[in-house]
Amino acid sequence: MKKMIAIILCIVLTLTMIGCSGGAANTDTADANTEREDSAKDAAENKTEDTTEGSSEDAAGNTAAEEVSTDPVKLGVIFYSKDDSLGQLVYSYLNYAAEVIDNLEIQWVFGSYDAASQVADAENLIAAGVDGIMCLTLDDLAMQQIANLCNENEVYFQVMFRMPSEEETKAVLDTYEYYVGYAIEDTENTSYETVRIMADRGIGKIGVGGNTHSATSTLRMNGMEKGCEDFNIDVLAQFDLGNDVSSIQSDVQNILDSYSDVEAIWLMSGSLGIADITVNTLKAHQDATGKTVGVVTFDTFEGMAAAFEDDILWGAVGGQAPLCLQAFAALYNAVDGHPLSDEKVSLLFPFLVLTDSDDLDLFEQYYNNTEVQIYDEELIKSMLYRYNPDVSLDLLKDLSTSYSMDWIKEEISSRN
Amino acid sequence: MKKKADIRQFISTAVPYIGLVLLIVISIATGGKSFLTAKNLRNIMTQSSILMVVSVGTAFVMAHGDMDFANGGTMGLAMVVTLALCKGIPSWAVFPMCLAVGTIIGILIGFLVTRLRVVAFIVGMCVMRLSSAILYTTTNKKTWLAPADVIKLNKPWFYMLVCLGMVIVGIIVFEFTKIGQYNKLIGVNRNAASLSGINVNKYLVYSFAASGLCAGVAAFMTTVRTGGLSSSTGNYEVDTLIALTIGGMPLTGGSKASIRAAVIGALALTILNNILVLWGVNADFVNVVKGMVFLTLVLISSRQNAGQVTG
Repeated sequence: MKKMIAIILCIVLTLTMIGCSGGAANTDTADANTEREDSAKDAAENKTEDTTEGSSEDAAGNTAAEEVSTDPVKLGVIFYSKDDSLGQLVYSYLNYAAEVIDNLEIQWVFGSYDAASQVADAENLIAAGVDGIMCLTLDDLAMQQIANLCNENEVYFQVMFRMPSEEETKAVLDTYEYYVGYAIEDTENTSYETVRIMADRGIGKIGVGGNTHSATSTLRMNGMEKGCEDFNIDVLAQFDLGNDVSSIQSDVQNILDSYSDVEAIWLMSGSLGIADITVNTLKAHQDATGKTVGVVTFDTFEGMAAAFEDDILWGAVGGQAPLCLQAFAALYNAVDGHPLSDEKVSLLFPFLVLTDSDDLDLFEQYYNNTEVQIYDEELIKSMLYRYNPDVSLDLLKDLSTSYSMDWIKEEISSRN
Repeated sequence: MKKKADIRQFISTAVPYIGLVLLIVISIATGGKSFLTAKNLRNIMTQSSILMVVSVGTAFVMAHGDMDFANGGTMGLAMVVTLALCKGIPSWAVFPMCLAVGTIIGILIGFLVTRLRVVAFIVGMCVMRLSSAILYTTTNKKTWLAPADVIKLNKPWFYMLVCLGMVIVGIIVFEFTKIGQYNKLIGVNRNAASLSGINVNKYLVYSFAASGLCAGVAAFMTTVRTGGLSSSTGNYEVDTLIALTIGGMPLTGGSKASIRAAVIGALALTILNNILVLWGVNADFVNVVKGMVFLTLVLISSRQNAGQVTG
């Protein structure tokens, strides 16, 4: 037994020595990166010459395709899960992008729920030879560490569905050459608008389910508080949407029992069954007392149709998954040697706010359906320099601004 | 007959080693250049080091047959207390502070288990929830950054050195002192240990203190690795249990408990995670592969320990 332990310790020591002996064996990735940078520089020079000579062709894409590097682009994506609605759609959209873009390969890593694990995922992806990493970082620490790691390894890094929550973090990230930027939902404004939904119904007293455990939840709460202030809505009571989802039913029931004048519940998050449990509790209250207390919630959920029908659900927020394609476009262009901006990219993407059954029907038909690609091949390619040399950050921002349920409907109808 | 039993005994002891060697061979054969690069080997050592240190501590608790679900929570609490105080103390004191806080929490857990007769895993759950709540509350407005001098240690050699030191100390204490020996004996038969004159409660407290100390070291390593404190710090409860099981640690403790389980298990778990990414395994199959590997190893491990005398 002791011999065995000695052998294991020897292996550990040997690996340690090899590990500390330097990066000579890692020349493959470095060479590939150097080649990519060289070809990117060549492409950029060619582009400049073409523009000077006035021979640039239009956005059909073929000319650009000839100019840019033909090296395969391998991107790593670190995402918490592909089992919930957002995860499924992001998985579907990015895999579709990999299908239609001939030189793109995507490698996924799921299931990390702490900063150290996300850093480990990034290390493994870099070892696997990716050219860029996209990540829904769990917090500023993970963001900063992964950005640092990517910078040291000359791998591009794009944050999605998150942004640096503190100025110090942003300042540090801005110093990293290989940090591309972030793409995030328009959270605070949307949160404000959800309060407007209640104000339009003449609501004056609400209960709030939420917390400020993360940068995103803080933004949602800030928007709600600002809305309540502007629309003169009183928050009677607040409960924490922390770890234990099973306590939500009791929390909502306590508010209904303790505050007979409560008119609505506002939920900072409806995921993991929170919205369903709340709606069921409010439905039971409606059946027992005849009084309707409505709910407005971030996130969409299974029982929305019935909740709209019973007039318990007044608003639900979702539809942000295509944001991943905007983040992808920013990253891909940077890897391909044609970054969208000399500055760090910051993209704001709107939510879809559903307020009735008609909205829900469209939502289910076009958005909440992994068979439907809201951004089709043409649209995805239009965001990439390889296919559209006229692409710019403004084009991406315009696409974001126009995103709405009507736009989705028009976009998909125009394809048929 | 005796020879057959010896062979069976040898095979059952060798299974975790064989598993690890097999995993390494498969990884080298299939991961090729990517797996054997210096950078990737450094990644594996760095990634496995924190888990290994936590697992070494947990091995002391599992040796006497208890489940330790407090290691992640202890890590979180050690980081909170240390970083809360770190503005008032020099950077060099952060490490001993983490150790001290971890050990104190371990002793408190030991006290709750031995004096107040609360089941260890219930105490562990409580520490986990308490830590989670404190982390949420303390990090909801601002990320807590570690001192710059501490973050500078974020180099592979640091993790390897600390890990190696902890494993060696762990082996010495576990195999050659009363703390390890008596805890294993308690795991075999608590009543017999008590009747033979061992102060069972004292050695149980020692084991929880050892676990807390290791969690304190791991807390410091995590602080260095992530650069500070976040609400998600210290999710090591399940990984530790899986690593120790893979490494051949009997869930009921006893004479077969050893520190090698922590070393083998942490390495195997990290290599498995690493090679799945290097292979580029379809995300749909990653969990299937992991699940199958874990199930196989747990089945082997449980068969291996089936005939063992327990208390």
